[in-house]
Amino acid sequence: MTAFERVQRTKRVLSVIIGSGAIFWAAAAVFATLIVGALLVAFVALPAASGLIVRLLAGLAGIGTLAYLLYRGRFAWSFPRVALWIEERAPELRYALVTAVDPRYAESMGPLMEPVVSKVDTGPFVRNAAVRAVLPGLGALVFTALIFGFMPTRIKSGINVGNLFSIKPPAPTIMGNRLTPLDATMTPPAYANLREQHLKEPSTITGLMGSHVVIRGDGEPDGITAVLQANDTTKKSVPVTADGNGWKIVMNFTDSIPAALTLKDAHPSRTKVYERMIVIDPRVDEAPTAKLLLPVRDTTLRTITGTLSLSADVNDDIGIAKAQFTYIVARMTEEEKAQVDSGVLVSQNFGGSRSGHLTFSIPYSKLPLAEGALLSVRAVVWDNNTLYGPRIGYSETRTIRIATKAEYDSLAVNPAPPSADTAMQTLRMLIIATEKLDKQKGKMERKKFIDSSYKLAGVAETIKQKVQRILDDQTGGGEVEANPLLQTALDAMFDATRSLMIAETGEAIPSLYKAFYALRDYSKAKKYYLRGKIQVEPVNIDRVRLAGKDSVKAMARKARPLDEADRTKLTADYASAIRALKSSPDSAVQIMTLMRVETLRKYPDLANALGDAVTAIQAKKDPALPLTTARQALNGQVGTLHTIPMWSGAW
Amino acid sequence: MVKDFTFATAMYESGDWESAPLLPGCVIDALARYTSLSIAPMGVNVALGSPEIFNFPFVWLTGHLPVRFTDQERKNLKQYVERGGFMMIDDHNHDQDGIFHKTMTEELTRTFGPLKEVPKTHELYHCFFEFSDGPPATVAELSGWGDQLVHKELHAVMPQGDRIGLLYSLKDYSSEWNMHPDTKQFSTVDPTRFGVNMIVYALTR
Amino acid sequence: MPSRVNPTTSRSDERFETEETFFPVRATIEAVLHGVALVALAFLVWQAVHVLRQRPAVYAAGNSVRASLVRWTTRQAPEKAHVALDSVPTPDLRDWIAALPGAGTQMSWEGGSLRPSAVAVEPVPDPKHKVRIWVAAPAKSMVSLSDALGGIDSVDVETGGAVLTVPGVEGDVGATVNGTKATTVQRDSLTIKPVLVLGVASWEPKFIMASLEEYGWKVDSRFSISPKSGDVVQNVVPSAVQIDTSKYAAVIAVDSSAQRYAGQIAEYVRKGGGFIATGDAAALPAFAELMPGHPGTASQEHDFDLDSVTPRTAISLAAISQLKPNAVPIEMRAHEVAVAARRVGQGRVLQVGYLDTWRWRMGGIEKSIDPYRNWWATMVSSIAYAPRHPIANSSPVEPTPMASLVSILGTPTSQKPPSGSFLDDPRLLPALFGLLMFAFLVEWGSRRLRGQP
Repeated sequence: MTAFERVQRTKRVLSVIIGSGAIFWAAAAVFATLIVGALLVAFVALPAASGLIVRLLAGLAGIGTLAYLLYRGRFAWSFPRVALWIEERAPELRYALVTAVDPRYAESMGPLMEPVVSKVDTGPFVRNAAVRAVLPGLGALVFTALIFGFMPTRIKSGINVGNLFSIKPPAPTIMGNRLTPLDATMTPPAYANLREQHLKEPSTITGLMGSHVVIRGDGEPDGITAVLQANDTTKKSVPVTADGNGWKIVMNFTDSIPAALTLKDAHPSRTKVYERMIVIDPRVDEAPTAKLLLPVRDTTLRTITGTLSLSADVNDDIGIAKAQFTYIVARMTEEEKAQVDSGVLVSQNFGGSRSGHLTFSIPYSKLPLAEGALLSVRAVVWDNNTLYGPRIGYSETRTIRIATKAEYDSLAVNPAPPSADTAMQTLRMLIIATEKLDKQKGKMERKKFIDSSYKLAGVAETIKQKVQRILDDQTGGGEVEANPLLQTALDAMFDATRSLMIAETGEAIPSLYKAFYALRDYSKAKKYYLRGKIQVEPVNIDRVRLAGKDSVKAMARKARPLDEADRTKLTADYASAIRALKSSPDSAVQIMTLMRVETLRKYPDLANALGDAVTAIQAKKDPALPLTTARQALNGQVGTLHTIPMWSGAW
Repeated sequence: MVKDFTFATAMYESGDWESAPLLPGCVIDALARYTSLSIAPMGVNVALGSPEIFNFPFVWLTGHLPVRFTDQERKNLKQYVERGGFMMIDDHNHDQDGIFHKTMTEELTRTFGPLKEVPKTHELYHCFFEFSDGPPATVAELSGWGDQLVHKELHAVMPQGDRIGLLYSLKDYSSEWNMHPDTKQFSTVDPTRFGVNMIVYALTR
Repeated sequence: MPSRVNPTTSRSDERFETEETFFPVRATIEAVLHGVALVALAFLVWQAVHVLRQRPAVYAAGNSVRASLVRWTTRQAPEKAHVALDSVPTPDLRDWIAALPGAGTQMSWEGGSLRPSAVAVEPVPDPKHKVRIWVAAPAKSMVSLSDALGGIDSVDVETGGAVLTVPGVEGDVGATVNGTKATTVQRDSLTIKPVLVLGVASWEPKFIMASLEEYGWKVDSRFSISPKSGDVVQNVVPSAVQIDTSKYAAVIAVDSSAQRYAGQIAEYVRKGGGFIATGDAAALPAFAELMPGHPGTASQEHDFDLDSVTPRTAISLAAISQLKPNAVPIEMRAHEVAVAARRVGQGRVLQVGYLDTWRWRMGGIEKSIDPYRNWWATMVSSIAYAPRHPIANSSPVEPTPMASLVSILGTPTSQKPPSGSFLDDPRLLPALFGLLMFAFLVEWGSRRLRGQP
């Protein structure tokens, strides 16, 4: 073999070695990236597109590694550099090989160099290079490929390479408990815009109605059954299907009734049956709320002028779709019929935000109002629930009355606050005005002072008449005795009016205060008042007593149902669970889990305590404390005395 | 001294609560004619939104106009019924398409959930006088007023079993009984007997 | 080989001489240790003989009592023994201590920190809370109650003890106070009859009836409406009322309509029945001899105060005065008696001064009507008649552990007996042996290291 041929052959072999090594390392880099990426996606909450990103990164890692290693080994594709490579490893050649293959000297010096070159065996160098270049890469590839192959499918499925290089473990001769470990993925309904939840070994799965739940475990699905039980009678079988190397159950929360999901693992390879229960707790999302900020209170308008200003805050736990201000205008016609107009004043979309503010203004004249009409306005809000809603929330209603000419002076126009409060507000202003005028006495021109006082006397007279009307209403026109506070207020207003008429502001002020305090105390007292225009007579009971002729046939009374009748059953169930606890903790856990399902809504304290007890029992810890808490919740309020009593033990 | 039974009418903010002013006297008269109960001779009006409503475990509420309870009125109404009070709500329009019925049923459904039908076998119809066909028809129904229907059932909120806490009527007893008590002598059958059943039910069940 | 120093001596001798000269202290110590070992050996022999001849007086305290009993019983058989107990021992341990005198050991004990406690369980004529647990315990202690189903509740004691009324118990009931557990069982059950409520149809009798039925009582309500309708009854065709203990656990009279049954009620109470009178009924002359006292003038009712934790302050009260000698004030309002009780014959009578208590149910500020229901139900169960039936239960229990301890072991002594000499200390033997071996080994080791035999 000539020197040239020797170098040529060595070049070919080196190319293969370097290329293979680079490929092995590149493949190992791909697997390593996939492994790290799959673990990250499985255990760290990452966006949904993470799987794609991981796959891209793996590809880039592989390509990058390949390129880098090929670049490092590029010498193998250069004839002279291969010759130099051989020279480096065989110094005894003393550049004889390089000279022999150099085209400038090959013809002249080549034959002279051949004897030297032929003494060197390049085999060992090449083998050495092969071992160093190929074996590590091959080892890394095998290692990472095995790890990737044995990774659970559900972890790999997070980056959508579930079935890639899956190495199915050899079927065990006896199947272990396939109900642990369990993973659950709960995807809330789209309208809720909430993140997916991943639960490890869940004992309870809580989610909104419309949520999609997938429960996964290891092992084949044969022999595994799942039954959903909402109460003692309603049971529904849930299919268990294969999912790569494992099994899965898919459910949707279609209602809001808590249920117990009972999983049973009865593989034919063994006689032992494993059971496990998971509480399914679907929740209804809350109805949105609306709080009316304007108008602040109900009012009465004398004339249909001015502007109605509306303002409301709206909130929802998930998201608001829209909110509106709505109105109803109603009045009674002369024929005693109700005439009604209703509509929407404004509607605004909120695009799913959780809180918002709605405002609107409209002149009263633009509404179909007339004398005697009642205008009711309120805010209405809809949430984003497109699945089984939307749910609607309402604010408080404000009522604006349009007074008739005849009603205006009557206190019966304002149903609330009670009449005395209205008089009190005017009286307060009158006191302030009188005090202000009194300070001007001696400084103001006399005629002007007398005129001003006379005007205030007019206001005092109006208030006095209002108080007189309240008194007439309260006494039913003199039928019953007058309230002494009202009488005091009336007498004081007489004095105050007289004093103001003769411009004695200093004398009027004490009387005004006396009337004010009397009306204030009267406002705090109980009162039942009649509207001004209703005149009713008391019934003469004695005259008609037992004068009826019709025959009577009274039926016996039925007993009232026992309040919280379910506590008796729950107490019996609890006792069964405790009795089973020592000999069969699994049975006790089952009973308690079913109790939890029954009590989740009605007795949440009991349900929580039972949940803690189940957790403690399953973790093989002492459940005494949560069981005592559960018992206290079950017993409800018990009579407790912290001393020895004198009578009976109850007091 | 046994405290008198007092007929109370509920005042609410949003409507014409006082649309049947003679009704209390008429029912009080019937109660006196057929029972030996201690009765106040006059009714009272009490605000639904005030704590005084709880001093009257029997309350009548009626109207023609739209009903929109304030938050306090709704809270009081819920507590009132759940604690054992008896409220009678009657649509003075006798109109299932009318605004009182629509708004009132919306308010009641928001507060208590859907109303339940009261069956003819219920104690309400048999606790004093016998009404084997259910609630008696009213003149307004038979004359074709309002929605021109004879409503065969009443509806109720039943907080415990079939105990009635709130009775709802479309039959317009407010018109039927809104008269001077002596006017009843012109009727063949005393139309207010069913009112006696309501009160006896409230007092004994 | 002759040494350079002294040509006549051998090297080994020289070496010995040199070492002796070089280590005089070490040799002395070895000698001392040798002596110590001999003395320890002699002492051991003497101790063995002493033990065979003399029996020790011993002492044990706290957690070491059980282990000490084992030793005293199997090996030591002391002449005198004293135990200091820091908690009431379990019955087996107590009986073991009590048995030692029979084996020739004089026993004495002390329990300075022990406090007496007791537990008792009785059935209650109450459809919801059927069992009452009484615990006697020192003031300021915490009592933990349990039964066969686990923990029931914990109660802190103000004075004398505590009482807890619960829906039910199962098996042995335990009350643990300061580490001492007293146990008992329920030995009776009750047959609970209905309650009769009498009154004119009005709000008070209606709400009393309603609350008791919702609580779980069966109620026979006789509400007068009109002479034509008769009384409204429950579940049966209206019939004449027969008030006796075979039919009713208690009778509640709300107003003067109960007058017609006055004779029956008086007889019923004397035979064991329970009677509650409120409103006008408490003022009827026909019931005067049964009543604990005299009702006064009714006070003004007022609104339920939002801040009040005592809703009954808003209810009208006809305070009870002129209490009879055996009357017991059950509830006070300010300084007035609101509820009073007394025994009449074999029965019990409760007089309630509150009027229109139904206002509390309707208008009270609590979130639920449970307090009202519970209050009326408690009053009824405190006077209700219910015949008892024994329950066969042969569980061994210890309801008064401290009392039993004193009864069996005798009065505790606060002085310790003279403790035995150090020769009686069981640790002496191993200590001596240890000393002997130590001295022996160190002496031998040192000598051998010096190259000596």
